[in-house]
Amino acid sequence: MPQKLVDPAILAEVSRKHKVSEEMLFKMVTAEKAIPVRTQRLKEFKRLLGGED
Amino acid sequence: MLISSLELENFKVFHGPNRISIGQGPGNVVVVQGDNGRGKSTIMEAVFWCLYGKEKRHDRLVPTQYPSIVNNTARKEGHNFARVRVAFEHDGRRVEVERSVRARPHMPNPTRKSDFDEELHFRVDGRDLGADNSLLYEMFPEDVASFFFFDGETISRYAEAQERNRETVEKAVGLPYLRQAREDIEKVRKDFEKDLRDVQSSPETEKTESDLKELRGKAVELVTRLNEQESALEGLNTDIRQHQRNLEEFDDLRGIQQRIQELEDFSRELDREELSMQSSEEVFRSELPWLVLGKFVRGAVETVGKVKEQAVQERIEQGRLLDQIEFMKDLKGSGTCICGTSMDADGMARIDEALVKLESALGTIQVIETDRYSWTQSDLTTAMGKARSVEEEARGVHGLEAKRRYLDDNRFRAERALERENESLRAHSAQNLREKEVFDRLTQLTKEKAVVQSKLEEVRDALNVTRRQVAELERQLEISFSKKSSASRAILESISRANRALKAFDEIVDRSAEQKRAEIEVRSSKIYTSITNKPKEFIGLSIDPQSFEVKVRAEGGDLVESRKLSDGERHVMALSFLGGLKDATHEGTLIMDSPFGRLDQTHKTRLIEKIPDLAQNVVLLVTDEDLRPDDWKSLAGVQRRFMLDHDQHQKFSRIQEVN
Repeated sequence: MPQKLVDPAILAEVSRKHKVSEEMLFKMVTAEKAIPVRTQRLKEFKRLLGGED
Repeated sequence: MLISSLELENFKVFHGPNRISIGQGPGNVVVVQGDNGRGKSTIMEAVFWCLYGKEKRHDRLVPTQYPSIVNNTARKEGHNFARVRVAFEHDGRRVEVERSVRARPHMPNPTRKSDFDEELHFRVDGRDLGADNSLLYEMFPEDVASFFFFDGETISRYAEAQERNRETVEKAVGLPYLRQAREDIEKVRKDFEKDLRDVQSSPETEKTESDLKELRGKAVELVTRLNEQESALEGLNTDIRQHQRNLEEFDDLRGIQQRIQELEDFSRELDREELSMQSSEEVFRSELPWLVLGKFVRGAVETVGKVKEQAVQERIEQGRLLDQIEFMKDLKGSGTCICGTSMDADGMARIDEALVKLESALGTIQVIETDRYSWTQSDLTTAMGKARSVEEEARGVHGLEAKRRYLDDNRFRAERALERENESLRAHSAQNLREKEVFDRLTQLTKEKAVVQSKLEEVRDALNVTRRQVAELERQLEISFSKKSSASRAILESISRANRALKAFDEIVDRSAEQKRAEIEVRSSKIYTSITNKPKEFIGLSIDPQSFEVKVRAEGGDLVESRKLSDGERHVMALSFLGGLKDATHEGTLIMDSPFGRLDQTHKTRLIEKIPDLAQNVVLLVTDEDLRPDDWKSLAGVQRRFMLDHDQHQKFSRIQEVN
């Protein structure tokens, strides 16, 4: 699979448009690779969306 | 997926262990050459079987057929065993997939799948995960593999509009990762929504609310009972006050009766006084003649007194007259007037005249005096004493009269008071209740009041307790609501953040897909224009954003329908598309089985020249006819070359590296 899943420019633009943290979006985009186990990934997503980061 | 080696043992046509190594440069093209039936396509099948446990037939993956998977010669030798091992690198990880089948013990002639045991080892960075190859599907889905390990005979299909193509291309560019992330966000959002529902309807709060409702109902009931008791108490108080007034009226009556009694006693006293008075009057009447006499005596005494007084005055007058007469006589005898002059005759006459008058007056006085003093002094004294006695009697009469007036006055007042009291008595007679009944009733009412007051206090206490409980529960609820409100706000904010993230991901997916499509389109066009023999007529490829159908873009921008292209042109178009797709994914091994089948020599040559650029590593499965000596000259970057040796007698092949 491609190393660069999402163009950073798209990420930055979409982040601004939808008022979502770019860092959070990046973590979510790369979560599939960074956290292979889904339960842990969901936990991380919940933490991110819960505003803990 | 960058394949580093491929091992086949007793797999179908291949007998014994066989190995294709793909090392690091120079060159990135590995050529496996063999005539038809020697096992070129079997190499491709071995890759699919090893990775996915399936065989690829006519561009489709189908379940593995047993026992044909084990080489016949090996079976005859008693080796009912086949194995394929693929080693590759992916995202910096070293991966090995080894799949094997072995006939079960005591199964000399296995014919069914159930006669074999299949074994899979999936190793990542030296760690054996056993049969769990789920990570492989994430790394390299089988649909994607179909695009990178393809058969040239069916390559044209990849350029056709198929939903599978779109999905596979999306997988190839990694969009499923984004979709999976989106799905995870959706899942987390649903979790948040569930959390919100849980927070808003927590069992503790529901129980508190239920208890509170019950207590409020109880409080309302108690207030009703309290009002009833207060109303009953008010009624009793009214009755009690009425009866107390009745009793007070009895007191009034008793007062009136007492006063009447006193007045009657007083009247009797007056009667006795009356009798005494009458007795006194009897005495008085018996003495009445004296009383009459007394009046005359009193008149006489007064007369005597006046006479006596008059006599004294007359004596004084008599004395004065005598003095005047003496004086006159002296004056006449002297013949001299009081002024010292000699008195004439006329004066003398006047003196004589005055003397006559004085002596006349003196004579009158002496006569009167004689008359007046006819009574003796003793008579006068007696008369005076008798008069005084009569006076005293008269004073007794006055006492009687005063007493009579006193009696009459009191009797009048007593009668008037008695009338008033009797009038009051008559007025009270309208409520002339029997006092005992009133008192008994009052006692009963007082007892009832005590009972009602006791109940009232009881209800009031219960109400206070209930109100305190209600207040406590309300406080708890308030705290709970406050906590819930706070928690709800936080969760709602998380949901809102998740919704924004979902929208962001939707846009990321769409824009990334479009970006990848455009990139594949550009790279495919570049490959296409370098291969096609009509570079001026056909300027590139177009990939439909919706259907992913690949079409040739003619000069001027018009799109050419695939059916209007020759087989060779469609072949080039599909190859270019797959090359562009591979190029866009930046890595991996491309395995091409007989890629030149439908190409004319010009296209073939151009494709051969282009092969090293199509992927990081290219495994080319070709026949001797596919690559003629001149073609080899065009093929740059050959790293290794393998030949498929075939034993016509034993009907099996072996892979031999050609130096």
